[in-house]
Formats: sequence, C-alpha cells, structure tokens
Amino acid sequence: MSSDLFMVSNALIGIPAAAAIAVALEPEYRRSAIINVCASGATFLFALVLLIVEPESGGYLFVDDLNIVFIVLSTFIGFTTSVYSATYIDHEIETGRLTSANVRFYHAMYQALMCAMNLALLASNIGLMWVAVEVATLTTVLMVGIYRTPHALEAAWKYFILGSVGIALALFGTILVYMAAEPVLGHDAMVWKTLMQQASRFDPRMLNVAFVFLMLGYGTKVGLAPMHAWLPDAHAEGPTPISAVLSGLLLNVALYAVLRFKMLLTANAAAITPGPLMITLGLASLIMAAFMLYRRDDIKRLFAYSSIEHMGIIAFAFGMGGPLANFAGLLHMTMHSLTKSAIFFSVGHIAQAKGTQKIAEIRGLTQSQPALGWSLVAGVVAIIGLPPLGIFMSEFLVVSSTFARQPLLAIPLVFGLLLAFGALLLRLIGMAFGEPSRDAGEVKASMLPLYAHLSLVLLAGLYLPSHLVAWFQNVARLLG
Amino acid sequence: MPLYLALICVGALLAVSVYAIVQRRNPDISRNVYRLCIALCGILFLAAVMPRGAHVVSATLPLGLPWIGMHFRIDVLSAFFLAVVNLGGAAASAYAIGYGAHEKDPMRVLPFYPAFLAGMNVVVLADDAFAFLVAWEFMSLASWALVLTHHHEAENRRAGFIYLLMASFGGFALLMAFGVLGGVDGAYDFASIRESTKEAWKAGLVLALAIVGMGSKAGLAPLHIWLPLAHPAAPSHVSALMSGVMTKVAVYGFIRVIFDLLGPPAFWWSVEPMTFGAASALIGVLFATIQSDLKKLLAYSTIENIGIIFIALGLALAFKANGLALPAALAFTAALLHVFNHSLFKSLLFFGAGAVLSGSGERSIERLGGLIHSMPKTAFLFLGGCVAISALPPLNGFVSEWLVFQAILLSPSLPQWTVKLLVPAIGVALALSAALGAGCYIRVYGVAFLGRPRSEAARAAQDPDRWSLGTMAVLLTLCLMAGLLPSLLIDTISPAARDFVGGRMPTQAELAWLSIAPVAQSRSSYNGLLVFVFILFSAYSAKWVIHKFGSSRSRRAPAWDCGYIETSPTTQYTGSSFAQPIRRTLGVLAFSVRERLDMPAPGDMRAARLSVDIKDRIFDYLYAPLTRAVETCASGLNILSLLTIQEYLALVFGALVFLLVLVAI
Amino acid sequence: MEHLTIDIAHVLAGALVLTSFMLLYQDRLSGLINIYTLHAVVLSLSVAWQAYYQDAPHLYVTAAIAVIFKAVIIPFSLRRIIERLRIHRTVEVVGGVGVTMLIGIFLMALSLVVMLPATASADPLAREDIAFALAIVLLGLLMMVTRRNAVSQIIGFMSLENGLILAAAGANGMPLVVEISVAFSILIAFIVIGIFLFRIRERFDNVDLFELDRVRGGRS
Repeated sequence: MSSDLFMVSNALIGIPAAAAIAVALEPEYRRSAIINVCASGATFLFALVLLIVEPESGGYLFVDDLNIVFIVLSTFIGFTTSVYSATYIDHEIETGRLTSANVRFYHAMYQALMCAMNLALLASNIGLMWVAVEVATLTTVLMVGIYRTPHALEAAWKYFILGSVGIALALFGTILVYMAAEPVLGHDAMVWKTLMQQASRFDPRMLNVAFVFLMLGYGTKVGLAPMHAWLPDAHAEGPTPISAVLSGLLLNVALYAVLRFKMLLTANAAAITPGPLMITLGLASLIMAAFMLYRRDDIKRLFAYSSIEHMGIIAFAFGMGGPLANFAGLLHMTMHSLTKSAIFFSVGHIAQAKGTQKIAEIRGLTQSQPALGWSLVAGVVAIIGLPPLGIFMSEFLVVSSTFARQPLLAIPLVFGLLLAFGALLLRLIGMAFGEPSRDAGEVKASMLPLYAHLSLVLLAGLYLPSHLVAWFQNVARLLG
Repeated sequence: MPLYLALICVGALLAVSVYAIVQRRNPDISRNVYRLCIALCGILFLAAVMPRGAHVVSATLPLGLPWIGMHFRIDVLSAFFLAVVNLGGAAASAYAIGYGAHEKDPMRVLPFYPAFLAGMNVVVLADDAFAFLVAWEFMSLASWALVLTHHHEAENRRAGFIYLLMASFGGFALLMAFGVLGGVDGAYDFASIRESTKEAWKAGLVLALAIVGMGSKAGLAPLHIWLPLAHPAAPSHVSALMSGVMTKVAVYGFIRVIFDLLGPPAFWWSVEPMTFGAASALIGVLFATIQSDLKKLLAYSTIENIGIIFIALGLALAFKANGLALPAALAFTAALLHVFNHSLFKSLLFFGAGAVLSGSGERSIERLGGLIHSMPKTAFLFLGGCVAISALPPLNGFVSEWLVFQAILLSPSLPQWTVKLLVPAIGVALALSAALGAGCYIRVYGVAFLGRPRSEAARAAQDPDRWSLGTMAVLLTLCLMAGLLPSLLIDTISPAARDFVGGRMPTQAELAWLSIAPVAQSRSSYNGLLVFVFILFSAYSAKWVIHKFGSSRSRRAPAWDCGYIETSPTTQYTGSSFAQPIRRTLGVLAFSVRERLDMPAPGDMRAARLSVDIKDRIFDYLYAPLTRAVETCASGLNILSLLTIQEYLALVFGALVFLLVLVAI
Repeated sequence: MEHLTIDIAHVLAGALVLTSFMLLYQDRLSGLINIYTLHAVVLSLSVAWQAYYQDAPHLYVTAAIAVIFKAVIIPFSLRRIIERLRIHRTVEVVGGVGVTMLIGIFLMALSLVVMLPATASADPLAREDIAFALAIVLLGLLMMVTRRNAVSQIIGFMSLENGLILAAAGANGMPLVVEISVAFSILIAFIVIGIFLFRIRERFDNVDLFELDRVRGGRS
C-alpha cells in the first residue's frame, strides 16, 4: 500500500472541496473565477499524477484501470470548462443576466460538483458512490436553476424530481446488492474489490432484481430513454458551461456506475446477462433521440438530444460486450465527452453573440463569426461521426463488429445513426452557412478550450497512443 | 519507393491545406495553392507510372486502429487509378490557376481543395478497411465543403445536405460490408480479408452493400440523386474533379472489393452491376437530354457513363465466373479504359462549362447561343469534348464503348441462361444510351455554341485566360492521343486484367499500324489512326472541292425568317424544342412530365405560355416518401418532449414494472 | 420468541404498506399529511424493532431521525406551506381511486412474486421485509404518477424514501453510513424542494405541476 497514492486521490477530493469553501467566501467574481480555474487545474494535475503512481486501493478510495480513465477525462474537462466558464460568466455579468452573488454561488457549486464526481469515481464502496452521485445531482440542480427564469426553474424542478426518483431506485438496487452479498461477505459487502472477487457466489436472482433497479436508477442519470426527460431541459436552461459539464462528465459518472454493476453481473454466471437490457435501452435512446432532433428549434436542446443519442450508442456498445465493442464504447465515451463539451463551448458563445438560442435565428455563422462558426462545423462533423475525427473510429468499430456478430441489431443501429446524421447536418448547414443573421453584440470568445478539445479529438481519430490503447484494452477485457 | 513518395505527397497536400489557412491574407495564395497542387499531383502521377518491378509495394503506418495500423499498398490497379486521379487533379489545378481568380471568397475553396485531392489519393492507396473508409469519408467531407462554396444560394445548401447524407448512407453500407468481411475478430486489413473464407450469403450481402456503398458515390441509379445537385453547385474545377475523378474512385472501390477482396465470383454476381449499370446509363442519358442547365447536364451524363462502366464490370464478373479469361479481360479492360477516357473528357467538358460560366455568367443553355463567335477557342475545345463523349471516332470515347460492345457480343459463350438472356437486353440499353448521348451533346453544342446569342451575356462572352484554355487543350490532345493510340493504353491495363480477372487481351502493340483487336484480328479490329486519316482526308478534299468549284470565300447571310419581319434570337430552335420529341415519347415513362399550355383565346393579346414540369420519378417514389415518413415519425414522437413531469414519471414507472415482471417470470 | 420477534417485524412492515395504501387513497391534502405522519411513525417503530432484534444500536438513531424529522418537522412545515398557499382543497386524482387501488394491489403482488424467490437464501426477517419495502417503493412511485399536486407528489416521494429506509434497516448489518446518508439526502432533498416550492410560489399562483407545464408555451 503506497501512502503517496492516498495523498493523490485524497487531493482529488480535497482540492475541490477546499476550493468550494474558498470560492463561497470570495465576493469578487473575477477572483473567484481565477480560484475556480486554478483549483480545477490542480485537480487535473493530480489526476495526471495518478497515471504515474502504481494503482492501488485501500481505505474508502481506490484506483484501478477502469476509473482512472474516467478520472483523467473528467478532471481534464472540468479544467477546460472552468477556463471557458470564466469568459462566459464575464459576459453574463456584463449583460446583467447574472449577479455577482449568483456567480459566487455558481463557482462554489462548480467545485462541489467536481468534488462529488471525483468521489463517485474513486469511491471503493457502493454506498459512498451512491452518496456522491446524489450530491452531484443536487449541485447541478442548483446550477441549472441559476437564471431564475420560469423556464430555468421548471427545468431544474423537472431535473430534480426525475433525478431524485432515479437516485432512489439506484439506492434500492444498492441495498439489494448488499443483501445478495451479505450472506457471503458479511459486513464487507459494499466494497467493490471484495464484491468483484466473490461475485460468482452471490444469489443470482437477487442480483437480477438489483440490476433492474440500478440500470433504471443510474440510467436516469445517464439519460437513457425512457428516463431521459430531464436532460434536454437541464442542458438548455442552465448556463452553457454546465451544459458542457453535464454532457461531458455527469453522464459519464452515471455510466461508470452502470458499468461497475454490469461487471458484477457478468462475473456471476447464473445471473441474467445485462447485455440485452443495455442494448434495448441504448437503441431506444438512439432512435428516439434521432427522431427528436428533427423538431428542435433550440440550439442547446438540439445538442442535448444528441447527447442522449450518443449515450444510447455507448450503452449499446457496452451491451454488445466483447473486446472490440467494449473498446469502442470506451473510446466513444471519451470522444463524445470531448466533442460535446467543445460543441457546447462554441454554442454558448454563439448564443451570446446572436442573443438567442433559436436555431432559426442563427444563420451564416461561418461568415459572421468565422472562428466560432467553423469550430461548430468541426464539432458537429465530429459528432456525426465523420473522419478524421475520433468518433468515426468508435462508430466504425461498433457498427462493423455488430454487423459481423448480430446483423439484425446493426440495422436499427445504423438507421438511428443515419437519422441523427441527417438531422444534425440539416441544422448545421442552416446555422453555419447562408446569409448571416444579425448579431446581438460583441463577444470575447475563449477559443483555447475549444481548440484543445477539437485537436485532441482530431488526434485520436488518426493516432491513439499505445498507452491509452493498452489501458482501454485492459478495461475492455475487465468489462467482459 | 513509389509508395513512400506517394504518401509523402499526400502529406504535403494536407500541409498545403494548412498553408492555405495560415496564409489566408496573402493575395497570391490562390495561385500558390494551385501551383503546389499541380506539382504534387504531378509527382503522384509519376509515382503511379514509375516502374515498381514485379513486386507489390506495401507499407504500414502506426496510425488508425492501433492494433492494425494503417496499411497502404500500390498494385497495378491502384497505380492505374492513382494515375487517373492525379492526371485529373493536375488538370483541375492548372485550370484553377486561371479560373480560381473569379472566386469571390477563395478561402472557402483553398483549404479544402488539396484535402479533397489527398482524400482521393489515400482511397486508392489504402490497404485496410479502416484507412479506406477514413479516406473515403474524408473525401466526401472535403468535397462537401467545396459544394458549399457558394453557400448563399439555398439550392446549394440543399445540395450539400443531400450530398453528405447520401455519402454517409453509402459510407454506412460500406462499413457494414467491411464488418462482414472483417469478421467477428475485426481483421480489417485487406490481406486477411483476402484469405478469409466467404460463404455464399456473405458474398451476396457484401455485393449488395458494395453496390449501395460504392454506387451511391459513383452515382449509380437510383442512388444518383445527389449528383446532379452537388456537381453543379461546386466551382467548375471542383465539379470536374467530382464528376471526372471522384466517381472513378468509387469504381475503384467497387473493383477492389468485388474483384479482389471477395474472392472468386459466382455468375449471379454479374446481374446486379449490369442491371443497375444499364438503368443508370438510360436514366442518366435521358435526363441529360432534357436538361438545360449546362453543369447539371454534364452531371447526368456522368451517371450515364458510370452506368456503362458498371455494365462492363458486370460482364467481366460473368465471364470470370465461368472461367472465360479472354472475354473477361476484354470487358475489364473496356471498363478501365472508359474510366480513363471519361475522366479526360468529362473534365474537359466541365472546364468548358466553367469557361462559359465565367465568360458569360450563364449556366442555362437556353440563354446562350452563338458562343462560337464570342468564345471561339472554348467552342473548338468544347466541340472536341462533345465528340469524344459522344463516342465518335477517332476520339477516345469510341474506343472504350466499342470494346464494351465487343464484350457484349461475346456473351453467347456464357452458359447460364439468366445471363445469356440479360446481356443482349443490356446491350440494347447500351446502344440506346450511346445514341441518345450523342444526340444530347449535339443539342448542347448546337444550342449553346451555334446560332445567334439569346442574351446579351452570351453576345459579350469572352474566352477565358491562358491557363484555362491551355489545360483544356492539353486534355483534348490527350483525348485524341487515347483515341489514336488505344493499343498503348490497353497494354498498360492488361497487367491489371491479368491480376484481377485472370486473363489478358492479346498484346496490341504487336499489331501493325496501331490497330486494336479485342479477341483476334480476324474477328474485329479498329484502327483509330486510319479513321482519323480518313476523316482528315475526306474533310479536306470536300473543302477543296467546294472551294474549287463553288465560292472560295465564306459568306454571311441573315437567318432565314420564313418571311416574317422581325427575327429575334428567341425564335431559334431551343434546347427544349430539341428535347421535346424525347420528352414526349418517354416523358410519361421516365420523367412524369406535365406540359401545360396556356393559350389565350383569339383576340386576347396576352402571350401564350407553355410550361413544362419535369420530375424525377425516383425522387418522387423513393426519396419523397422516405422524407415524409421521417417527418411524420418525428412529429409523432415529438409528443415525448411535451409531456408533464408526471407523465415522464409514468414512463419510468412503466419501465420499472415491466422489467420487474420480466424478472419475475 | 424468535417467531414472535419476526412476526412483530412483519406486522410493522405490513402496517407500513397499509399506510402506503391509505396515502394512495386519501384525496385531501391535510389528510394526506396526517397519514404521512403516521407513515413516518410506523417506519420509526419498525426501524427501532429492527435495532432491537439485530442488536444494532445505530439503527435507533435512524428511528429517532424518522420520528423527529419525518413525523414532526416535515408535516409541520408542509402544513404551513399549504396554509400559506391556501390549497386545502381536494386533491385531484388522475384515473380514479378504484383503478389506482387495483394497480396498488397488483404492485403488492408483484413485489412479493419478485422478492420472495430472490431472497430464498436470506434470513427470514429480511425476506418479507424487503418484499414489503419494494411494495412501498412502488406504491410511492404510483402515488407520484397519479397525483397532480406538487405537495402530494412530494409526499409520494417521501413515502418512497421510507420504503428505502425500511429496506436498508432490514438488510442485516448494513453499515451506518448508508442510513445516515439516506437521512441526510432526504434532508437536503427536502430543503431543495422547500426552496423550490418557495420560488414556485413566487412565480406561479399555486404549485400545481400543470401550471408549471403551461409556461412551456410550445417550446421544444
């Protein structure tokens, strides 16, 4: 057991927690934004240190190959989003949409959210993980409602109710897992490591019922249909950095929980295979979201539905299982997080520049705001799965491996992908090209996070470093 | 060596894209980019024709799928297509040095143009499914951006949408085809695919998917709808590349998958390519005949030519499946020769159309006319292109179509009745489309270049700059050379025929007087040179006779006006008049034409109006219902976004109860 | 003695289910709050009995929280809210009481069918307890689905949480962290809901969810 490791993983929880308090005490919003950026950056650095330190576990935190992928990704996006958020919030204060008291609260919640998400990912105990996910939900609820408009309150309310029900179902599932494990493990029955080692000895029927609850409960947070309803509104009505965090991180955290429990069920041969359920929910989300994309008239809702669509693809890939599909699922998740948050970065500034989120009133961006417009084009091109960007690679693997194994399942998959492709392309062409619409005002856009994400996605589409591949393959094997 | 050179050049092309973005304020950027593109395409062309020895050259780069890498390889087939691509690419770049100066917003072309070239090159070099598809989609993406160059017009935006959607549809079809070929373990490199065993159902599936995937890019009917929209939307040198070259890349993909990866064919494989090819040839030429938009017309004509190529490929499959090596080689050679020829004259024609467009600002032939006076050089070069594409000797179009017919004439040797019966029908369709094609180009040339100008723009039109004219002249010369010396080309192609269909045509260089003989000289042969000499001789002798015995000076007289006083140029025979017989006879069948005549009563001074509605039936019966279905479903499902929280909870509740019931039983 | 202990536990859990049915049936807000108070009291008795039976003193804490927080503070504040909002009127029930009760009975049966085989190997106390807990959870959800008023939905949600606590308490030796976290999260949840109710009252005439939906105004 290495004590360094404990310093490191504790830091991932401690820095954001400390920063949340510091920010809450800081009245000046620019300074609190700087603290926010610094704390997120430091968290990211510590997450990188985790890559070097030998992964070990103990206490209430643990690090293994699966969660380190999530940790690094989530702290990275947390960091870039905090950079983006600084400029975004500046603009919101200048235009009077937010007060500095709001922003103080916002920054505190941001750090609290980071803390909760890191805790959820690092927790070695399923109960602790549940608590962390719950706290993450509550902080995002508060941030979604921050504009205090009727729409924002409604979105937050809806998110809160549906999220609470989801989290309640997840708790019930957690209790059932404990009850299944308790006869074998005694009071240690909530620790991941021991659970995984002894999974084959648990009562399979209990695990089955537990998985139904966990899948629906955490699936609500993942945004899978039919539990997805909170997601579009929460993305559309909150501040855009939060939309980026929701799509880029929070969905992943919930997905992480689902994957953990999937591993548990896979390890028990007598239990139901979780694959078909995940495949069904994944396909339902994909196709539902793809159809919904056609009728959107709000730019942020559009991309929120696209997140549902992609979570559907990811759930499908993990449901298929096997080394290729699992690899594709992990890659897709990573690429989707980076791309979708990049899209939200550009969408946020676009909405500020045009003074509206209505798609019909946004036209000719590549002419009026070339940098933002072309970034949006690049982001959407990536998200609809065109090369040379990263999502193409994962879609290639998902579709081709599915078609080789289960041709009939590949057909709805491709159908959904094409539908979504058509819808997003249609809207993209409308927004990025044509005679530009009127601008509402100047925007100092922070392009750096956007470029960072897009270049990572481009790089990954062409070249994956062998370390990353080894990791992904290892995790893909773990996932079975 | 040639492979590494080619890959370096591809990298350099991508670097040129970046350079164009970085140097966007430089006033000379347009010229510089196109010059660099000429140079790089030139080197790539050399790499393609460079002797490679007996070996197939391959390389693997540590890119793409990490456990496979990106494989690249040059064999005879890729070398041939590499040459076609880069010849077309160099020509388009040279043309664009002049033409590109007309571009109002060059930054919407320059970064994407070299990327488009690079994409096409990588497709023909790729040696694994992932690299192939990356390049394939990248090529679509880059050309999509080029289609959207003039994005202010709603029509072009629509073209861009349909184009990329169809491209992606095709891409998914290919993805699934490669999924079947690569198998469960994901062995996506072509070498392992070649070795794997394919059951009959797999082969059938891959064939269907390849037809859909490659056909959607090549413009095979009924997947052609994007082509007449997108090709005209792009700037003319890009249209030339898309029509002349990119469709050939799709043909390459088809050959690679079906003739190479899928292993020995069964005879029924030939049915699909031949049928769809014949359908495309007919649909393409019929629509070309009635079009009045010059670039749209050329795009439809591309569909026709792609049809001819697929017919030849289908024949080659049928012969190959039956072990008839020589006829198979003949059909295969005809296909490749037509690929080469079409890339030449279609580029030439698009350049001509571009010259007309930049010279007069008009794309509709109904408002042109008399261009032979205002742009004589373009008129001459365009005429050459028309002759070539109409398959008239001594130019190159004739040679390849003649070879296809020769292959069709060998079909009685096929044992299966299905194919035996099908091929003559295909032959008839081919003959019909060849004849109509010639008629179509007579119409274009007659209406646009001859007669009197129908608009001020046509009267004031001017020949383009030296670069444009020079490029067109070079292409015309190449067309002529290919028509006169087809034996050289056939011999160049024959190693490919040997490798891919297992036979070769007789070595043509051994024949006297540059003749070609598809099977044996005793059976049939053609000598382009002889025809050329004969045509020159008869033309000059006719001229001599006329000038000797008639007047020696050309006279100009007013057009005959039937005795009426005023003869405005609008009284001339128009493109629509020309197309009317075909529209009337085949209109109901093929185009669902509606003609409405609004004839004022006697005494009414209002002008009479004839309006003609032409619709693409395929669009109406295939795509429109699909669009409507998606719309309906989208509207229906949209209710899901308008429910109350309670109803959403009910959904969750329902799902929970349903799953619990499932678990309980 | 053993039997009697288990029987008492079952009686208490069964009473909780019965109270859930009463919640489902009750159509006046003030009555609803009263029954919820009863629900919380029965829960705390049940948890206390588990504490005694399992000899797990920490469960007494949970029971105490249930009594103080859920049976006293929350009903009190809910009453304040409905008085201030003047919504003592009758609760609208979607679908009719009869149908709702039938569905409730079906859910009860479903939870027994699902849970009894699954818990065959568990100790007999936990067995029925967990089945009852599942029934309470499902009934709570059903209540949230069938009620229109935000206050009654919150009560539905809280009865659902009570079911969770019953399950957690029944699970032999489940670490304390969970109970505390559940209580804690309910606290937070309630505060947040309180904030929301306050805000919603500020913006809208009442807390009827349909009113909330009206502001959507065809957004999509």
